[in-house]
Amino acid sequence: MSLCTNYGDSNRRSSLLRAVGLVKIFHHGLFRSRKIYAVNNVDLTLLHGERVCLVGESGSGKTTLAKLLLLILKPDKGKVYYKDIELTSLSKEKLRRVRWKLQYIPQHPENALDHRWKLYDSIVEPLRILKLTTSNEEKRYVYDLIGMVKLKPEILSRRPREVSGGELQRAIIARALAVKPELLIADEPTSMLDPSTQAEIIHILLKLQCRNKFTLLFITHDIELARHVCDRILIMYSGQIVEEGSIKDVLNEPLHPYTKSLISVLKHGSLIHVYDHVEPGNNRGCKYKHICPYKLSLCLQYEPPLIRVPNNRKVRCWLYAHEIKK
Amino acid sequence: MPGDPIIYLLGEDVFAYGPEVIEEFREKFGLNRPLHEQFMIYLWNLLHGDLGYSFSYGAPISSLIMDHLPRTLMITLPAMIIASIIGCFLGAWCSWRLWENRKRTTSLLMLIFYSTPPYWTGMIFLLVFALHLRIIPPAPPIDANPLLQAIYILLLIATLLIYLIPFNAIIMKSLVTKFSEEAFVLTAVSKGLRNSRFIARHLIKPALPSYVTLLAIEFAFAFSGSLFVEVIYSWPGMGLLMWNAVNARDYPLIQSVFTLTALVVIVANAIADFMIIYLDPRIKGE
Amino acid sequence: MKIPTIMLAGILIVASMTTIALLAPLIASLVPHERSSEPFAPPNSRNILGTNDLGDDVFVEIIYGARLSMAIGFLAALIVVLIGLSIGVLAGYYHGSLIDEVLSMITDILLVIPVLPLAIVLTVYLEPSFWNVVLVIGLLWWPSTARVIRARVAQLRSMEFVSYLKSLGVSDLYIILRHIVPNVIEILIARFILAVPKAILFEAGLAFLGLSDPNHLSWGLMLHYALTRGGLLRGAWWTFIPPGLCIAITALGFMLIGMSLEEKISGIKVIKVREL
Repeated sequence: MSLCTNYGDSNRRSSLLRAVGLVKIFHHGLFRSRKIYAVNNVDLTLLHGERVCLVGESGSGKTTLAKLLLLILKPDKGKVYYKDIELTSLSKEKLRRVRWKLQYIPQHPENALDHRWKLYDSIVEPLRILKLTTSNEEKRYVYDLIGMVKLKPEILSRRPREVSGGELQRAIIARALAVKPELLIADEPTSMLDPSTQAEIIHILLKLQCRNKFTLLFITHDIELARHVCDRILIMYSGQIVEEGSIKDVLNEPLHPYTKSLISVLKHGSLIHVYDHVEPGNNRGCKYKHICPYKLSLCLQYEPPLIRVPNNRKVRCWLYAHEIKK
Repeated sequence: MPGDPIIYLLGEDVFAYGPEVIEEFREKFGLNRPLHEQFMIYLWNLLHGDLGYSFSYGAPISSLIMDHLPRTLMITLPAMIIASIIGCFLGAWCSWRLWENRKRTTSLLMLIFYSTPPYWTGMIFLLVFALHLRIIPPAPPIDANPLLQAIYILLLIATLLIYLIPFNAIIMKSLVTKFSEEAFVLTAVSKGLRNSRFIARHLIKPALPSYVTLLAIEFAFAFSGSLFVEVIYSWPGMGLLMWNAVNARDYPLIQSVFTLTALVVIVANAIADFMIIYLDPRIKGE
Repeated sequence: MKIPTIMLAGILIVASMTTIALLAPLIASLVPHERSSEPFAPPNSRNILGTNDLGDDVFVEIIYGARLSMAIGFLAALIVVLIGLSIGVLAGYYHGSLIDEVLSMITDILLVIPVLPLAIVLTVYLEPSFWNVVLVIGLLWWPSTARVIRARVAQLRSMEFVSYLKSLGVSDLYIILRHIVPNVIEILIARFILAVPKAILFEAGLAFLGLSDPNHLSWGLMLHYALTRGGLLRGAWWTFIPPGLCIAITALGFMLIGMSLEEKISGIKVIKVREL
C-alpha cells in the first residue's frame, strides 16, 4: 500500500538512471575457464521519484545488477546513464562528483560501518567529506536524520557491535539519506531482520521516499513484500529481466512462466513444481527452458527478446511473440 | 684496515713484507676490487663448483665443507627427527581441551623453554656434565672410546632438543587447536569420548600435512640452534666453521657457509611448498 | 578488560626488568661492589654475584646490561613493527595488484632465508655497532608482522564501508589513515610485544657470537666473554648463569603478555608458524 500515490503521472517524469545492455561475467574454476553470466544483457530505466522493485531468487544476479548500476562494479559490456551523462565513460574525477547522489543500502549491515567508529561519526562522515553542512549545523542535522529513522539520540555514541540489527540498518539508512540522494538502492534491507522490525524499516523507507521524493529501487526475493512496497516491478531470472510492469498488472496477470510460479507460491503456499537451481549449460535458447512447462521448440533454440506488451509491460518469452511489432 | 683479511693470511708480521707484496696478494685474491664485484666473482665461481679458498684455514672451502657438514648433520638431523615426533605429541596433548590444567602447565613449560637461549643451556650442560660430574670432557673426544663419543654426541643432541621441541610443540599445538574447535570434536567430547585413539585419529591426522610441511621452516631454526651448540662444545661442524670464519673475518668462507645454508633451507622450503599442495585436500580440491 | 593471570605474570616480569633498566645507576650504588677486585671471585660479601675475568662485579654488569638489552629490544621491535605496518598496509590495501605481488614476494623471500646466518653475514660486513645491530634485526624480522597485517588489511578492504567511502570519492590515503590503520592497531601492539623478546634473544645470539658492539655490554656479550675468556672452563657459573637467566626471564615475560594478548584479540585464532 503506497503512502503516496505518484504512479499516475509517470509519463511526465524524466529518466534518472538508464542502463543499456549491461553484462557482467564472473570467471570460476581452474584457470578461470568457467564463465558465469551474472548479468546477461539487461536494459533498465528508473524514473525520478518512482518506486521500483527488483524481484528474483538468490543467484539471479540482483545484487550484481545493483552494483553495476552504481558503478561499484565495472560492467563488461553496456552503459549506464545518469540523467544525460554517461557514467560508464566518465573519468574517476568526474564520476566522483556525481556518484554520491546514488546511494546503496547493503544486504548485510555488519560491515557497512567501521566497527571502531561511533555511529555519530559514521553518519556524519559523508557530510564532512562532501562538505554539505557547517560544523555548527552538523549536530542538529544528524539529530534530525536520526529522528527520521526513529532512532534515539543515545544510540549515536554507540558502536555497530553494540546495537541490534534493526538499529544498525536504520543507522545505515540515515547515513545514506544524509547526503540527500536522488536514488536509493535498498538490497534486501530486511531479509536479515525479524518480521516486526522488517515492517518498521519498510515503513520508514516508504515514508522517507514519499517525503524526500528520491527514486527507490527495492531489491527482494519476496514477491509478497514487493506488493506493499512498489509501483513498478521487475522480475529477474538467471541474469536477465524476464518481466516488467506495474505491480497490479503483474500480480494479477503474470505473463512469464517464472512469474507465474512465483505467484503460485503466494496463492497456494507451495510451488507447483519443485526444481533445483541449475545453471543453464549451453547458452542457446531461453534460460528458463529446462523448467518451463510451456516451452516450445522455438524456446530451445533461440533466446527470446524483451517483448513489449500493452499496458507498459514487457516480457521475455516466446509465448508472446505475436506482440512483436515489425 | 681492521678486519683486513690480509693480516690473517700473511700473519701478524705482514707489515714486514713490502707494500708491493701486499698488493700482489690483494690482486691475487681479488681483494682490491669493490665488495659487490667480489660477490659477483664469487657467484660465478660457485656456479663452476669452485667455492674458493679459505685463508684462515688455509684450505679450499669445498674440502672444508665436506669435512664439517657431515658432523653437523650428525647432530642436527637426529635432533630434528626426535623433536618433530615428541613435539607433535606434546603439542597435540597440549591443546586437548578437557585437561585445562595440564594444558596450561605444559604450554607454559614450552614457552619457558622456548625463551631460553640454546647457548645458555649448552653452557649449563657443559658446566654440569663436564666440570662437576666429569662425565664428559670439555672438548670433543676425538680419539677416545666410542662409548664416550656416543655420550658426547647424545649430550649435543639433547641440548638441541631443548631448543627444538618447544618450537615443534607450539606449532603443533596451534595447528591442532584449529581442529579441536570444530563442532564434531565438541559432540564427541560431550558423549564422553576421550581416549587417546580419538585424539590421534581426529586431531593429529588432519594436522599432519601442514605440520610436515612446516618442518621445512624447522631447518632454518635447527641450523641456527646447531650453530650455537657447536660453538659451545667446540664441535667441528658447519656452525663452528662459521664462527671461526667470522672471528677471522674470512669473507669467502663466511659467504660460502651462508650460501650453502641458505640453499639448503630454500630447497627444503620449496619441497615443503610442493608437498603442501600435494597433501592438503582443501587446496587440491580447488 | 579482565586480565588473565598469565598476562599479569608477564606484565610483572616486564615491569620489573624495565624498572631495573631505568634505575640502573641507582640500584648499582645501593649494592656494595668493588671495582677491580680479584678476577673470577665467586659470590661473596663484597660482590653479590662474584666477578668476571676482569674483576668487574657481575651484578653491576647485569644491571647495566638490562639497559642495553631492553633498549635494543625496544628499538629493533619498533623498526620491525613500523616496516611491517607500512608494507603490510600497502600490500593488503592494494591486494592483488602489482604492488602486492612485489611486496609479497620480498616478504616471502625474507621469510625463507635463514635469518641468523644472514644476520651474521650482514653484521660482519657492516662493522658491529649498536645501531647496526638494531638495524639488522629490524630489517630481517619485519616479514612475519607484514604478513599478519596484510591479511587483516585485505580483509578490511573488502568490507562494505570501504566501497561506500570510495563511492564518495575519498582518497585512498584517507581510508588508510582514518579507517584501516585504527583497525589494525591492536594487532600491531600484540606484534610489537612479541617482537621485543625476539629481538632481545636475537641480539643476545649475535652478541654471543661476538658480533655486537664491544663498547656496550649486553647480556649476550657477557655470555660471549664467559665462553671466550675462560669463565666457563673455570667453572665460574656466576659469569654466565645470571645473564642467561635474565635473558630467558625477560623474553618469557614479554611472550606471556604477547601470546595472551594475541589470543584475546583473535578469539582463538591459529598462531601461524612463520610468525614464531
